[in-house]
Amino acid sequence: MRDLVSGRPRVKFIPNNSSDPTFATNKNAISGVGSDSEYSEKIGLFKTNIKPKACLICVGRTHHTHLQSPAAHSSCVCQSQSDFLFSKGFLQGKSRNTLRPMPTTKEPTVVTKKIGGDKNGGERQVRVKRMPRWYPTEDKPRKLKNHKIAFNQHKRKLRASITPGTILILVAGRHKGKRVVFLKQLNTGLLLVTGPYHLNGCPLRRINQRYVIATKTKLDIKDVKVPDRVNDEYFKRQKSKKPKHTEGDIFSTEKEVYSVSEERKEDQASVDRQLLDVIRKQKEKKLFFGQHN
Amino acid sequence: MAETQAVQANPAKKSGRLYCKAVFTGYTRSHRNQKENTALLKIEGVVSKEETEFYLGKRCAYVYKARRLTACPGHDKPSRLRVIWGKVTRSHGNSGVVRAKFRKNLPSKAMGKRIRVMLYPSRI
Repeated sequence: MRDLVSGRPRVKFIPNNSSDPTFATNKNAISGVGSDSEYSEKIGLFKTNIKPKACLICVGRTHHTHLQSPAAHSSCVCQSQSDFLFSKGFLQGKSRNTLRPMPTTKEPTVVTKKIGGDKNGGERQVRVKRMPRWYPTEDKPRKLKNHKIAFNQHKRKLRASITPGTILILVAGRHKGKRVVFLKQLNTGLLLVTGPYHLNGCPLRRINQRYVIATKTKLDIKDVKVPDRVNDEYFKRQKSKKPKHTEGDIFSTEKEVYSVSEERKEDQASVDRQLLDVIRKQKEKKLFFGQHN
Repeated sequence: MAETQAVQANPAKKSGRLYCKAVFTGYTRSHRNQKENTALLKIEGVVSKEETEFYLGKRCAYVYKARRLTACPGHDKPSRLRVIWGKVTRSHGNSGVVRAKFRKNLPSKAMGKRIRVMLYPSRI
């Protein structure tokens, strides 16, 4: 019975602690390492006359290409059952070329049956178990890689022109037209930005790269520490708890007015203080402090 | 700015024009037939095909006034201003004219009128 994928004979699995004395684990079967090849020395599992070469199974595949070695094959997806067993050292015989199936007591696969009729030999050899009518094209169909990625695992890109400390011009939104300092990119990909608040009224805020023009002016904010708690969760819109419908009050609309939390004020003050120090050291600080918008 | 935290944040000045001025010159057309789904915009200051590269993909808006008041997102009061949004799709010809597609086709009375080409989605 051949492995339908590779054409190699299917070999019965022999456990490592088999009592069969002819069996040897692959590790003991090193036959002379001494070759010039550093690679075979490292692995120690090659005969010297076998040079490591590109894995033929993996030829033509884009993933899992590797050299032909038991170590590589043990993790190779493409290998057949016999490859796997050989690489794990479970096969009889030290080289793949001398595979032979395990001697076992076989049940009769073929049975002789008598048939009637003249001049036709009177007997037929009939299989006990019939061959299957249908073989799948692949024994184990390879599953296609699922390319759906959740949003929080997306790759976030950042334009090369935007680096921490860059002055950005906001081009849309509530603060359009203002020049703000870029602090860092958050996990969702949005940019964390601050006015600073005293200079232009823009607080610590998230904005999308697309609504921003990066200027060439950059501040050195290596030493500016943004509090760790300032992240995407921090800026998430707070869902107002819907009050239970009291009798006769189904349409009561109590619009919750947004008020700045103390947390935000603290963080704003701490970040801005550091930033203003950086700005004061700039040569063009008058420009920064002079802007009104 | 030498003042301490007691100082109010500087009052925000209103931002200036954050869009490029453009004119809706007409629809894509052959001599005697026109295709109203694509509009041609002449952006001020853009005179060659190379210069249009910046504007590709930018959002554009045809802003106009109507008689009836309609609700406006983000504002309490309804207003008479209305917008048709679109985007610059590609350049048109060699002289800096640009093609744009709007969510609804532009009305023909917009020909010769101002279209705002915004600076977003920004690529710089």
